Amino acid sequence: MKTFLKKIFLFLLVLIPFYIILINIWAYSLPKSASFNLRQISGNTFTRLQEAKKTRNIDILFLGSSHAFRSFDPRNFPNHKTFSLGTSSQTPQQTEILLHRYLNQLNPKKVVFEVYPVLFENDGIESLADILVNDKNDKYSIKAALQSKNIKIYNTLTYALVRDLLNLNSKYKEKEDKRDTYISGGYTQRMLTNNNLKIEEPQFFDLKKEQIEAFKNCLKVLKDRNIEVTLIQTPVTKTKYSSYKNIAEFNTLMSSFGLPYYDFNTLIQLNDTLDFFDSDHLNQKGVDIFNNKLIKKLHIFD
Amino acid sequence: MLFNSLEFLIFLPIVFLLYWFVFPKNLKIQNTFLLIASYYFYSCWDWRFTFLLLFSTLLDFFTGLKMENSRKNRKIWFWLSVTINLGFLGIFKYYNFFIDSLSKLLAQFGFQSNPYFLEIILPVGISFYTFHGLSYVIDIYKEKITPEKNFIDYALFVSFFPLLVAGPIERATHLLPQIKKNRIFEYSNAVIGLRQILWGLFKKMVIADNCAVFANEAFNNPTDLNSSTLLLGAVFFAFQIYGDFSGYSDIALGVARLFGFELLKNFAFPYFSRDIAEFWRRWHISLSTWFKDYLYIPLGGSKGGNWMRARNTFIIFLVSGFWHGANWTFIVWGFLNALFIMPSILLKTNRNNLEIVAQGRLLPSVKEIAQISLTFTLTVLTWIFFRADSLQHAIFYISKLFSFSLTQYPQFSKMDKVFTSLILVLFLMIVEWFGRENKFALEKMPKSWSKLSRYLFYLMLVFLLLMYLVTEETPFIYFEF
Repeated sequence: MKTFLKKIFLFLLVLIPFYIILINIWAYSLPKSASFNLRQISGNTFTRLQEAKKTRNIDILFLGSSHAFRSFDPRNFPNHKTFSLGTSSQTPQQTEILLHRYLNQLNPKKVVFEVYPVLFENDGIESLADILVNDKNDKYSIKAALQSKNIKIYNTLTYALVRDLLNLNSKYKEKEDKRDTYISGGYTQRMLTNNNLKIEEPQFFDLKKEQIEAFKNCLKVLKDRNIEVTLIQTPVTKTKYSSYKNIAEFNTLMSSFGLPYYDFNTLIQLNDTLDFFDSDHLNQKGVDIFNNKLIKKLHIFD
Repeated sequence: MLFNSLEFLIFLPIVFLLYWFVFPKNLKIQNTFLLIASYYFYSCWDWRFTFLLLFSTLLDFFTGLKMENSRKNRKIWFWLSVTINLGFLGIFKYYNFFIDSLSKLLAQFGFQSNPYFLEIILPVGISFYTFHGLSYVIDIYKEKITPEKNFIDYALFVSFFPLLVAGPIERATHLLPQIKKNRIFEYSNAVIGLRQILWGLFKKMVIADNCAVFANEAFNNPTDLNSSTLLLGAVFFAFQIYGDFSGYSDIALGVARLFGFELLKNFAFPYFSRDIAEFWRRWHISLSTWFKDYLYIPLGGSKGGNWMRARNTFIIFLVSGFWHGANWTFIVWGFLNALFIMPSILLKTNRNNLEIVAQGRLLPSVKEIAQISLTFTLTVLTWIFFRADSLQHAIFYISKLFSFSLTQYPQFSKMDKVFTSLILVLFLMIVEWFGRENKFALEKMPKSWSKLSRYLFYLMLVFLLLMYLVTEETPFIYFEF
C-alpha cells in the first residue's frame, strides 16, 4: 500500500512539470485546431494591448467586446484622442481586469462603454483565454483564471505564464486576418459586406448575476475617478435585433444605472447587407454612418 | 456525482483511504462503511431516491429469506418480488410511454382521450439495480443459491457505488462471495485498476464527449446537412456511445479493483466484431448474459427448431430495446439487431467467431477487415434509431443519408475540430487493437516497453485528458436508462 501511494504521489509530482512543458510544445507545434483547450487568438488583441501599453492620457476610451473595437474608428473623431480596449467576446468580468491594468495610464476624460446583452449571459471563458495569452498577466487576471474553475483557462494560464516568464511576447508577431486591417487607436477595420444573411433563432437573454456585478464594479471604478460614462448598444442587423425577445428588459437594466444609455438599433437606419459584414458587426461603411450619428447624438464629442 | 467530476475526485481517495487504513481489520465494519459510502454516492444524484433503492433492497432481501423459509409459498414470494420490482420500473420508466401510445392508438380509431401523464423523474440506475435484485431473487427461486442472511452484505451487493448507476449488472454468485470474503490490498491489482480508470476516463472525456459535439450537430439538424455530414455524425455517435458506456464500465471496474473487488467484464472490443452475433457477445455483456440466462433460456433457448430460435431471439432483442428506454426507437433498434443476427442464428453460425479477431497476429486478414467493416456499418445503422428522438427522425435521417451528397465535403461548423476528433478516435482504436487480447486495452502493457516508456504513456494520456476534455458537463448516456 505504501508503495502504491508513493508511486501515485511521484506520478502526480512528475505530471506537473511534464504538463507545463508539453502544453507549451503542443501550443507551438500543433495547429490551432488541435489545441482545443488552449488559446484562442483573434481580433488583434495582442496588437491592441501592446499599443495600449504605449498610450497615455486619452480623451475617450471605448470599452466592450468586438463591437467596441470594430465600431469606433478613431479617424472619425479627429478632434479627440481615442482608444478602444475592446476584445473579442469581452464580458464585464474581463473589462474589470483591463481597467485595473490600463485605466491609470490611459487616464481618459470620458468612457463610452459598449454593452451587448449576449455577453452578459456569457461565462467569459473565451475572452479570458484571449486576454491571458495576449498580455502580461497580473494578480487580476491570475485571480480571474483561478476562480474560473475551467480546464481551458488553467491550460491557457499555464501556457501564458510560461510565455510571460520567458518574455516570449516581446518577440511575438501577431498573425493578421487578411480580411482585417488594424488601425492605431485599437480599431480593426473590415471592408466586406454581409453576404451570409440567415434566419436568426429567437433569443431570450438570461443575464448572469456575476456579469452584472462585474459591470457594476467597472462603473464604480470609473465613477471613483470622476470619469464621465456613456453606455451604448452598437447596431446589429435588423434581422438579429428582431430576434431578441426580451431586449426591453436589458434596456431597462442599462437605463437603471443613472447614466446616459443609447440603443443605437433604434436610433439609426442601416442596411443589413451593405453596412454589416456579419449579423453582429459593422463594416467600414456602416462604421462611418454609425460614428457620424454618434457624434451628433452624444455630447461627449462636443 | 459523475465519475468525471471534481466531487468524485475528492470522494474516491477519502473512501479508499478510510477503507484500507481505518476499517481493514473488521470485514463487517468495512462492508458497512462501503454501504454508507455507496448510499452517500447515490444520494448526491437525488436523496429522495435512496428510499426507493432501500425499499427495493429490503424487498428482495426479505422475499429471498421467505422463499427459503416457506417452501410452500415460495412461488408467491417470488412473484411478489418480481411484480413489485418490475412494477416500480414500469411506473417510473414506462407509464407515460404506454399512456401516450395508448392515447395515440385510440385516436387512430376515432376515440379522444385525455391521458394523465405523471410528472416523474426517472431514478438514476433503476434499471440496473432492479435487475441486480431480480437476478438474486430468480437464482434463489431456481435454487441456484441460498438467500443471503446478512442484510448489510446483500445491500452492498445491490448498491456498491461503482456499479450502482450504470452497471455492470452483477450476479449474486459472482459478487456476493467477494463481499463476504476478507479483502487484501494487492499492489498489482490496484495498479491495473488505476490503468483501467485512466483508460475509462480517456474514453469518456476525450472520445465520447468530443464525438458527442458532432453527433449532436448532425442529429439536431439533419435537414440542413448533406449526406456525408450525416454519415460522419452517425459514426461519431457510434464512438460516442462506445466511449461513454465502455468508458464508464472501465472506470467502474477499475474503481472496484482499488477496493479488492473484481466486477464482471462488460465490453470486449465490440467494434472488432466480425458479425452481429459476435458484437452481442462483446457489447454490454452483463445485460446480454442477463437476458440469456433469465429470459432466453427459460423461453426454451436454442432448443426446438428454427422457429423457436427465431422467436426467442426476437423476444430478447425487443425486450432489450425496451429496457433501454420508453420510446419506439429503442424497440426498432432491438428489432433491427434481431433481424441482423437472424441469419447466423438460423444457419447456426452464431458461435463461429468466439476468439478475438486476428488472435496472435498483428493485422487482420482482408476477409476479417471486410467482416469488421460490414458489422460496424450495420451497427451504425441501428445506432441511428438508438440516437434519434423519434421514428420519424430516424427514418428521415436515414433517407437523407442515401443521397448524392454523400461524396460532398462534410459541413460541420468546426471542421478542423472534426479532423482532430477523428485522429483521437484512430488513436483509441489503435490502442484497443493492440490490447484486444486482454480484458481491457491497458490491462497488460507491451513487454518490450521500459518503465520509462510506460510512465510517459500514462503521462501522455493524462495530458490528452486535460487538453481535450469537453468543459460543458456531459452526463453518461446510460444514466438515462
